[in-house]
Amino acid sequence: MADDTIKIHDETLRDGTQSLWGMMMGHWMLQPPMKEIGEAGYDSIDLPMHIAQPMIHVRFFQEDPRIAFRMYSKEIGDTKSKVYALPSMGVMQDITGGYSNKTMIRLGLEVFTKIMPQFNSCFMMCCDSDQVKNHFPVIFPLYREFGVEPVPYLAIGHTPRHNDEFYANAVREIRDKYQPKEMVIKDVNGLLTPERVRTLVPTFQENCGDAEIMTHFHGMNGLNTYNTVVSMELGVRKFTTCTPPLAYSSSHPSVFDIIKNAEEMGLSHNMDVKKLESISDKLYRIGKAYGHPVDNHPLPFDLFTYKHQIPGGVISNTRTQLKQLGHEDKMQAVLEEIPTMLEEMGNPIMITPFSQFIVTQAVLNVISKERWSEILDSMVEFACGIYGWEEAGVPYMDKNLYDKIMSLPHAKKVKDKADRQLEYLHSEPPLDKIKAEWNMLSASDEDFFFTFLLHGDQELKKVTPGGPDTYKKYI
Amino acid sequence: MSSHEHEAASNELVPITSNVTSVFYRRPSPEEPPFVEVGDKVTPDTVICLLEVMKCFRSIGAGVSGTVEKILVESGDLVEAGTEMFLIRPEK
Repeated sequence: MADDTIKIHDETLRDGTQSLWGMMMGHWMLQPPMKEIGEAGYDSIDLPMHIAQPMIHVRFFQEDPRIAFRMYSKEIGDTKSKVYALPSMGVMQDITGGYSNKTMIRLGLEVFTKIMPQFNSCFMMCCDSDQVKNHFPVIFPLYREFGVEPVPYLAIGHTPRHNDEFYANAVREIRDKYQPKEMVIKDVNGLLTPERVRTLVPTFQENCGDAEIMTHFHGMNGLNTYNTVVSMELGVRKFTTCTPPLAYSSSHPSVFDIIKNAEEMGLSHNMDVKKLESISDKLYRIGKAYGHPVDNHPLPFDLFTYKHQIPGGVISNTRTQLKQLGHEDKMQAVLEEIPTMLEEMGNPIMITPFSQFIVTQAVLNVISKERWSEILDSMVEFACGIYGWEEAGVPYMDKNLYDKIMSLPHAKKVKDKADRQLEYLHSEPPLDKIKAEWNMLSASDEDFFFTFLLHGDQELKKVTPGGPDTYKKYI
Repeated sequence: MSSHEHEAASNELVPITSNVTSVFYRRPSPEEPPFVEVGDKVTPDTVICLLEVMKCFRSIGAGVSGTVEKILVESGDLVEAGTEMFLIRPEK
């Protein structure tokens, strides 16, 4: 029987800021609420300590990410909450730049666990069958060696392929091979309906073994708070929330709504509401001071969203960019193009980075004389399997489109890279050899790793000297 | 007809044009050398530039065998649909 106490996982400073504030958070915007987040009673906290955050600190705020990450550790102190960080390491690097392999993943873990000893759990994006087969055998043992427990995210697709049977098999396979402590139902597009939740949650529960199920529901259809309550009713006891103003809209449900609904259902929680109110107050002031939207609300329900599955933020950027291209009248045509494209592409789940390049390809298909006459390099990478094979949908692609893409001048080079990717991930060259390739043989492991994450040392050189005391404070 | 088109027609040069309004880049990344220089031999599969639209890139092939005769735009230039970017002297 389910416990009568719910647990909350906090995404305020990671997914909340990514969903609503474009991740634009500098040192002094992240610091004020962090200590209280560590004290508020969360079962776990996701810190903005992922591979994109160093770039945010450096490029947009000219701040030293090595100092920022140490600040997170100091502020979070001796929190009783589990601390999640570093999602996607070992996978995303293949896409964003340099290859990752066992040596670099190990280095990343050494550096990050040293800077933040509290770091003890890590989400694994997004647990498609390619990753379970190819990446997990490398990543699970390596992370566990460092005392960091991998938590599989299962991204929920809204396509005919991604039915409950698909998830039953995926959850069972992960359970049998890796016995994770937690598994996450990740509604990355925020399109789950209560009807689907009522079949999906039991599917996970029946197949997850001893793993705890956690919800991760974005809000594109405005139903994520209700979906969380439905999950509660079905016996789930761990839920992802954000604290307003970083809740609602395309982000997560508000922590206040979830604990209130839990109380209504006779369930208890461990949250310190006064601390949550203080966190919320600070975030409102930070958001207002920096011009971020703080007036966020649940989104309206729109059936058309299910056809194109494009997140609201991407739609709003696309509208702006179409205007710059002189095609502001084409937005509806672009959105209508996407369902056809998704079918042709084999119905990939619309996760990052797919949504961005799919919408841009849709723009090209609409404004060119002929569909697919202009093909993005990302689409070539997609067809070559850089973003996964089986699960990305490559085997299900329209054959004519696949052949057309693979006949492009640079497709062979990209395919060679894709074919070598896995071999490279499994390889473990000496660290000095990699440092030498970067002309950084004498650099410390930490400096080298951050340079690797930032694709070079150019941006680190632009950091404002003098440390945080010289950075501008926002409140 | 533009002056380049006159030049292309009169000298049998093949223009490579942008089909969609985009930003033109001559190099794969700022630290790397240009894809091609004037005088370089190209084949139909040689990538000669990148075009960017909405922060997404596409590699453009020469589409013809020959020699790069002229590069008509600069890296970072916005090229309207139909703009000639290169003139290629085709192999005979």
